[in-house]
Amino acid sequence: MQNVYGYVYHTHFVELFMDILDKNQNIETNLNARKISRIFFLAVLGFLPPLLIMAYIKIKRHKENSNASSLLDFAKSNDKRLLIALWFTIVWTCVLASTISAFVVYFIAGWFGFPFILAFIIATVLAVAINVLTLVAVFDKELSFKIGFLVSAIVAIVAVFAIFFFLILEGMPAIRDVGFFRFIFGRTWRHDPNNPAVWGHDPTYGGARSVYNILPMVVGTIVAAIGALVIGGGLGVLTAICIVWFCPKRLKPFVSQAITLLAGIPSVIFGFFGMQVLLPLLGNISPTGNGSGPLAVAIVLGMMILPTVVAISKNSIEAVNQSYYEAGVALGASKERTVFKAVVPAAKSGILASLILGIGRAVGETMAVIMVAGNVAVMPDGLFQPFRTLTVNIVFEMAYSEPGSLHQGALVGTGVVLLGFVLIINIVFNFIKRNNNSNKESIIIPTIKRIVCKPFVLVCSKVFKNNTTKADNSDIIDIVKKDFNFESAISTSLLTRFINVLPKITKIISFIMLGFSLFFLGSIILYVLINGLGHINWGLLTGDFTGFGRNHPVTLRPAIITTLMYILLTSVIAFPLGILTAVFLQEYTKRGSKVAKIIELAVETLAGTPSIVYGLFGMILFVTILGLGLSITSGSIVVALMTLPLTVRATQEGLKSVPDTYREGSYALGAGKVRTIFRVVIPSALPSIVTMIILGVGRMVAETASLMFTMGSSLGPDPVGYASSGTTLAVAFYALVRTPGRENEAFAAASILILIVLVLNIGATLIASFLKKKTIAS
Amino acid sequence: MKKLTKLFLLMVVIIVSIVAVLGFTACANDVIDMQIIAVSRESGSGTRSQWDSSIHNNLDGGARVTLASWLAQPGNSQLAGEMQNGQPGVVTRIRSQRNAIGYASLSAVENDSNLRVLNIGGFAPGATGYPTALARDYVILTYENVDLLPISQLFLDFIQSTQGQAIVEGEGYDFSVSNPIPFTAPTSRPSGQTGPVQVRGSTSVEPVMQELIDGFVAAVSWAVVGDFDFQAGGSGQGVTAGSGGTIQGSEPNRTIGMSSNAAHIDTANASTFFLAQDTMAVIVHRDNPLTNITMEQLFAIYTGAATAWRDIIEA
Repeated sequence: MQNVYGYVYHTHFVELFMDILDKNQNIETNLNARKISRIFFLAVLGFLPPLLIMAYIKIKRHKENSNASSLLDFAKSNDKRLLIALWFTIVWTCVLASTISAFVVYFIAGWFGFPFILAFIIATVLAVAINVLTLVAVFDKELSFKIGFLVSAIVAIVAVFAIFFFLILEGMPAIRDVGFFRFIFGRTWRHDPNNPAVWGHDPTYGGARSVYNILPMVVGTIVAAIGALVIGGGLGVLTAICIVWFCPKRLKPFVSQAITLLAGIPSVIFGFFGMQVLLPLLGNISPTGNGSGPLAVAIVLGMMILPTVVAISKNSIEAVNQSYYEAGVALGASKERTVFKAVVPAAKSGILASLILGIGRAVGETMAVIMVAGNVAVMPDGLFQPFRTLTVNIVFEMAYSEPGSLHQGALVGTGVVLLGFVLIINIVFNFIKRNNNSNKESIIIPTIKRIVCKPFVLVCSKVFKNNTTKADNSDIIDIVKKDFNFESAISTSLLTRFINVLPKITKIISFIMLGFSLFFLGSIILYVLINGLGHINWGLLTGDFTGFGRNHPVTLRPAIITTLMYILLTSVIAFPLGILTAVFLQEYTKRGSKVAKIIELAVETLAGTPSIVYGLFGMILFVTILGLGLSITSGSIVVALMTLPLTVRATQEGLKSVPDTYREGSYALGAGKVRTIFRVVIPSALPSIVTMIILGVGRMVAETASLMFTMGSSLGPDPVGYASSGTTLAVAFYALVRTPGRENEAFAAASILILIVLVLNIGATLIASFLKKKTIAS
Repeated sequence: MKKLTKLFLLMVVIIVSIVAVLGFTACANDVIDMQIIAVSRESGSGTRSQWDSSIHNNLDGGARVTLASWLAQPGNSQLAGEMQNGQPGVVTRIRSQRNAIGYASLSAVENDSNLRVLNIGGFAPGATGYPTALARDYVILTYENVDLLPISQLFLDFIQSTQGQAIVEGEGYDFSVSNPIPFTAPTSRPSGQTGPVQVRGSTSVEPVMQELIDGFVAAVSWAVVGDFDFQAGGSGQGVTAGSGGTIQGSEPNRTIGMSSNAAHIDTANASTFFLAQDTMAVIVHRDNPLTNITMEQLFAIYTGAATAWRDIIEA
């Protein structure tokens, strides 16, 4: 195939540089300027290397003679010629290396679709960094590696700052223009493209002009999160209890593996299942005939947060000291009574943490919600009232907003508010975790109840009370007041009261909940596989993309190639960065030191940031400002940032599990820190690193929302390079679902996705156990 | 162990019974006994604004109220029913929901066996008498300050030619370009800077643009599908692309934007033209016995005044 980016390769570096300098001058001047610059360039390149070699020799000789070990010792030297040689080396190695690497990056960048300026900046930064490192390395190897680890750890902080900076840069003007309080507490969101609200216009209510206030979406997000919590949280906690204490031993690994699998299924598949199966079913019991609304969203989101809740509560229940159980049984209590009265309360804060993490996930979810929510920007005032969350608001209207308009600003502003939401959840989570570590749970839970739940219930009832345009609202207020007891979802106090009376029944209920969890999983997987497996064939997987129109056969080859290219680039960015960051956190900082705290906070913020916010950030920075356009490069960078926290955390866990005696042994044998890390610590942590990589790839495969903003959403021909736009399998599935007459292919794509997730999950478990055995054996 | 088996049995029985009850009720209802779900597009899309400004009532004794002016009245911030994401979103939703009604581009739905296209006031879409307000224009935008890349220019010439007209009309649209001339392709790929033609924009224009690209590839011997980088993310994307928002530095202009909103014809920095005119069709699920609907009924449905299919079908 012809190289479509040929023009990039044929342009000489210097010529291009001159082109940028004097773009509008005539060709003759340009040619002269080029000649001069080329001569200058060659001259500089020509006389530099001999001088550099001389300077290096001088320094090396001095180092051998004087036993100076660090850069500082050199700087203190009185030998002027030595100092000149030193600075000369530093400055000119930087210049030379940055020029050379600018060449290299620029040529590679042609393939990646980078604009020249960006390539040059990256090259310079890289070159200076590498130079400083090598120069320091000449004198002090340990220090240079430490700097290297620190630099990669700083990437997380830079990413957090960049996300905040660009989102606020784009979103704040609109929020200020509408007015902060009006933006958040105004009750109308109405966009009319023929009557858009304009900058500086005082948005008056009524009238035809568009109004951008987001209270309905804020309330929608809260309702969706609570709904997910009630369904997924209750289900998850009871499932976890059942798995740990009541499940037959033989079933246990199978069940927990199955629940983890649920975490890997792409959210578009959840949404599709909800739209195709759940909505028509719910439509039959809905008074308006429409199934979409808070109930449908709660069920779908509940299913999605289930694995998170189960995994973390399971861990914390398992971590409860065995003596609690033994003491309970010894006192004559039944097994059920002991579990619910002694063991579960002891794991309370862990369970609470799992619920809050679940809320975080529910708040940030987009693609699954958009298919079942009904998406009307009004207050959700019933179980079946179509409503909209913050995430949906962004995806829904972003494609129709004009650049620079107040509308687009308001949408990015929605992203800012969403980010604020997630930050609050994060802070609460950290608060609980910290108190968990210092065993202050007895104080913390009532505090949380007081701070979070009470005002929330108040706000809820107020919101519903105010909305009295329809007559049938009174019963909803009653629901909120009586049945919709938020506290019961957060704490286990009501539960325990219930258990006090009927422990056996609770056990049965926990079994039924486990059954429901497995049933959800089974029904989604079976629904997709039954409809899709039969349609997977060789032509679908490898056929040529012959055309865009409906008469041409669908081929998934472009999607598969795109997915592979994207996973490659994302992995190359995310995994080394994540592993180095984790090494820095675990090996170079003390627990609780300030640097570690800041980096960990950044990583946690990245972990909590919803994928749609990453999408917005990528769209603003990479697609528009840096001019990468809708391309595989933009998508990969964005998802690499998204996978970073997972990478860091999992590697850190792995490093933590390496016993200190290994390190001490290595030091005792005379190895340095760097050598110890690379030869002893990382190899011992390899099982968890490998598992992390596999799970990370799984997450990349499942990602959709952010890729639609940064990589594209329509099916097209094979990508010709990283500058092409493209769709991954998950996005291709979403595109196919929405194309009439392509259902079979859509199901086939979904089946492939589920099979990939299955293989990755099982592979991760198998490889981890295999490597563990091997490490223990050696 | 026996106890556990009992528990599992109980679990299975409960789940199966819940599913069975839900499944049974799903099959029990006829559409006529169900409530109406009105499906709209997202506000901001060209289709939606055309719909809002053309659906009206005639009941107010001469004072015609359209959906748009109804929405502007105090207290009415949103239409009844739900909203879906893009034309495909609406179509997919109605294909799986038996009591839903919505609207989409006629050519995208007329051959879909899962849907039924309704007549309005007794007139089939396309026939004289079908409300002319339901026709809307597709706009093509290019950045006017930098010359287009040769291959992008060729494609632009192609879609305005008689061959382009044949494809557009073959898809069921009215061709809007005046005086199209036959397109003759150069025998070899234009030299100099090459690269993919970037096409960005509306989901409504997507189907016809896809056919045009296929037509171009078929008509030009050296062209391949790899010459096109096609993404339909919405009209906004088309306007960004067409007004130079995606062009960086010294990069040549390769981008063609598409929009389904006639208001975009005056977009700054872009040279624009109307490509085609499309008729919007009102669609319901194939199980719906309805074949004809009136403007007043549509107005009532979308404002929430009519909620039961029985009232519409038996009217």
